[in-house]
Amino acid sequence: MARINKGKSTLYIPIFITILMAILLAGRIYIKGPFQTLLNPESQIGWKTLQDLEHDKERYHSSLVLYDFSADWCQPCKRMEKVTFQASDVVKKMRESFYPVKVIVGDEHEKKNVADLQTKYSLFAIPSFVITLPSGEWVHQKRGFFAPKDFIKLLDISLAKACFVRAELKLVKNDYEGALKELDPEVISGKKPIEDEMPLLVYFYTLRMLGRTEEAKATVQKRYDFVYSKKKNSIQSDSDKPLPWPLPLYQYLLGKQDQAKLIRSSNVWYQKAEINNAIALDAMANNQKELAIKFFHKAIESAYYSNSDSFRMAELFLKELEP
Amino acid sequence: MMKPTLLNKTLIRFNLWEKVRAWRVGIPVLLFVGLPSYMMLISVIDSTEPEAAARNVWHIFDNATIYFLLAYLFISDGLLTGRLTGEPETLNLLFTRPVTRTCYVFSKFFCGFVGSFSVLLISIALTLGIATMIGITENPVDLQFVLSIAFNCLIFAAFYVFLHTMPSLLGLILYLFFSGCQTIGDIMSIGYSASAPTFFKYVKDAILFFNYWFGDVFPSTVDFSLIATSFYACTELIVVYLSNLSLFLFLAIFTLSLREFSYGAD
Repeated sequence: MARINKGKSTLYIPIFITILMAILLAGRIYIKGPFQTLLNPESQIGWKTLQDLEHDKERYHSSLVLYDFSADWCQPCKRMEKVTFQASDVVKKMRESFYPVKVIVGDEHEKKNVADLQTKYSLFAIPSFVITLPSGEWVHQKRGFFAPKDFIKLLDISLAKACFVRAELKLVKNDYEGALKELDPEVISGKKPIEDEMPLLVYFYTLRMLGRTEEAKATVQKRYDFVYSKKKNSIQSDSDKPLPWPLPLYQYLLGKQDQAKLIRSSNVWYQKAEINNAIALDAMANNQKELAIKFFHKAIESAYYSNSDSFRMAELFLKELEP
Repeated sequence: MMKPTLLNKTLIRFNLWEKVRAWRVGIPVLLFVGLPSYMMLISVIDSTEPEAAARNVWHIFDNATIYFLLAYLFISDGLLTGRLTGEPETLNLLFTRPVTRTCYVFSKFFCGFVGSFSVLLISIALTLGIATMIGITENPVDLQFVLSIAFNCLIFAAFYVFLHTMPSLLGLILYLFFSGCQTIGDIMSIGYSASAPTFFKYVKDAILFFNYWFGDVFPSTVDFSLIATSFYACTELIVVYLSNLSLFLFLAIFTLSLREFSYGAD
């Protein structure tokens, strides 16, 4: 073999890399083995179990119930325990506004309950997070690993959605004043992000049923002006092309666009769900029950295709319209 | 007399400069430089939600595949010879000279890191320029982002050097083994069942054992913002990262040392 000076062969492995590799390997085995429990500190969130949920009246006072479906063999779940649930702002928000329930998949004692929840919320992967009202109505659901800032966004969206889930429940019982009280003005004005236009539709319909149509239109006009100013770069001067979403929806609510044009303005499923919901609510306001039922069914179909949750309001209304 | 060095100038010049001038390597490198900015342009210009489209384009830099492919371009010599993989026939000649296995491995590692990091920096600068020109103001490019890119380039360069020094079939088997160990944990999370026969429980336990101990050997992309959040995540992530880096380089040198290079050897 070739030799270089000092008798070292070309097969020489530097001692520093050998020692470094050995130390780091030992450290890695130690951290993942005996030291592991020290690196899994107890969560400050105060997780409850399904059994606690059944007996605990405290849940009726808390804002929302958050189910965390996880397992001891799930690596993303462990990463969430180590990273996300140790972040101080996540802990603070969870303690303030949520009743946190840990659902351990594979728990022998809760097998049936876990299986029922799995079916109820169509869960096929973990970690999954399901947020419901204290009375059990579904609010929001997401799966996968979330970094702390993304988890905070998820919690904020859930809190914003919860207010209009409560409004929807009152709306279907024709309690319009009650529904209006539940709606968060910051969600309606767009200050709090919520992912879709359903809160605005609910607000518009509620005010319309209370005879305050002009006030409703003024709010929509404000939203229209705001969104138009943000998207004016992408608006084409060609009058045949529809405006960017959700401007066509706002135009319909303001009475500047007819149903046929609104339906043609989008081929995206979640936008079609919002279109169908808007037309159905319009039909409800005009006492056109058959038309409302037809468009609520279309809204549910569009929402399922787009995996959006705008089907929920349509289902609630259909329960009342088609007992 | 020649002193042993850690880096070899000729190897570095060849891998970082001469190779890129060859069209087989140069064109893919240019693609990596230009593709994200092109995607930024076409996805934002005709989009009704330009900010969301721009965010999706930036997620390209979280994808492990681009780091792996860039490391491959700067480390592997197969492409130059017109094959996807393969060693140059010059290794036999190279190791008759005073180029140690260590020097070869570190030079290749250095080229893999510097080459991929440079390409990605240029790509980020171009993409940022295009994004700013078309009116996207919120771009996630900051020091944490650049550091994440640098550390990803390091670990994937080390991993590819390790695979590069293996005989071809063994390299492929190891790649599949480690990526399988990593992926199986995620697949288990998808296909869980609250009740399963005992046999499957033992299979699941075995799979989870491999996933736990070997799943993080296969490198995954680093997110600096996560590391900055939690001390506990920081410790384990840093130790595993450094351990992988040193392990890959050690095993690369060790494997290359065990292999015979001589004229007439097949």
